[in-house]
Amino acid sequence: MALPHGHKQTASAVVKGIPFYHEPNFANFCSQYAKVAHFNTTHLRRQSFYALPRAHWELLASPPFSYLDTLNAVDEAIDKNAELSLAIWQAGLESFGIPPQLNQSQSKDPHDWRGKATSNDLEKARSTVRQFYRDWSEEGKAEREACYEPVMKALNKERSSRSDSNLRVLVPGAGLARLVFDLCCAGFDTEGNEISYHQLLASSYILNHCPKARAHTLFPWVHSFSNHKTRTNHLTSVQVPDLHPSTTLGAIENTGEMSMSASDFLLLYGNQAHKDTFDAVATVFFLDTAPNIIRYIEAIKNCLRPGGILVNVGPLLWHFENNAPGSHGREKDSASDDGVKGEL
Amino acid sequence: MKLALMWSSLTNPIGIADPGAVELTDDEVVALIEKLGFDIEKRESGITAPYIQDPESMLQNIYKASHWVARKR
Repeated sequence: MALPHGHKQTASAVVKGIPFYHEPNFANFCSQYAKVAHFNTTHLRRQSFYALPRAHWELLASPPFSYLDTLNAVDEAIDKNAELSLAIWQAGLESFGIPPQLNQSQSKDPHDWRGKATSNDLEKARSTVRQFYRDWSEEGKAEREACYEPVMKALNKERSSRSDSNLRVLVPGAGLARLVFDLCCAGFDTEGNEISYHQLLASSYILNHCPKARAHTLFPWVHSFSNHKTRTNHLTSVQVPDLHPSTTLGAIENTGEMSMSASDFLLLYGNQAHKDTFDAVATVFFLDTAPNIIRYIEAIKNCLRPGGILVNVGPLLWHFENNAPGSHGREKDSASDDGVKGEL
Repeated sequence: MKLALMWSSLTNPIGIADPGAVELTDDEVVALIEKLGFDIEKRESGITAPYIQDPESMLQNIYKASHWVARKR
């Protein structure tokens, strides 16, 4: 697919071709996120609520329950979440020149949106929003420390044992790129790899475009109504990002180089051009995305220099178990907030 | 600071969508790493690692993650 005319790229970007046809629903899920979320989350609940016997819904519509006020608050929270999705989408349009014709919501009948944005699209948008909680909120710090600190420790130890101080590190499955960012702050030359365009555009937004720390308010738990102790917990919000990436990097003297590659990890890092090019590979919640883990290990071994290290942290939620190959991603995790799914 | 992005075309048919799949245990993964030319230098298990988990929820899904460091021979 040819690059669209007027394509702009970020200052140091190396763009080798943008196969956005792989994600034709990207525009849908971003621009229609709010509509679909309103429909699935509150509209259907209002219908079900009013389908209760009148005396019952009247009881629950009054204090202390005020259930209809809750649904209104959820609607407002969904709009707030959608603001971040839209900011990501708009920054993506400006930076990478996504063909505007993909943005069907502006050109088609506004009443026809339900057939286009599937529940899978909503799930992806929801999953991306929730990943901001993990990677870019103050509240997500404990989750990050559990997984990123062991990596940081292993790499610091490796660096101190070597004379050449600049380690080159690869982070496959970089997601929203917080580990990549943290490693750069710690002085490692770090390359992230990610295959999901949702996540690539989201990380590009937060690293390159987001104007300041705490620019966005997110309601990470608003979509599910189950297992909340209080309504306050259900409607809890977090501010993202917890820091402004370029300001933070600018204040550090010896940061590492940062880059991201958009590709299938196996293809890019298993090839001859990447043979023996990294001092370390950091896999965090990544190896279990493999249908064939031998291929993953072979690709990692290919791009590691002899004597290089593979640092791994993660469980083994094999993403392809009960899934047809091709439906990669950590969707199983994002679904798990609604209850126990699959084999979990 | 600008994030450099490299886009690779996905025309090669070999990749993540390859046929075949297998699900190993943690022990088996570590054994495989050694078989494929790495030495395990460190290994820990049971690292408490929630993944996008509301700490206030009445349902807590928390991984007990594995952590290891392997060196390419």
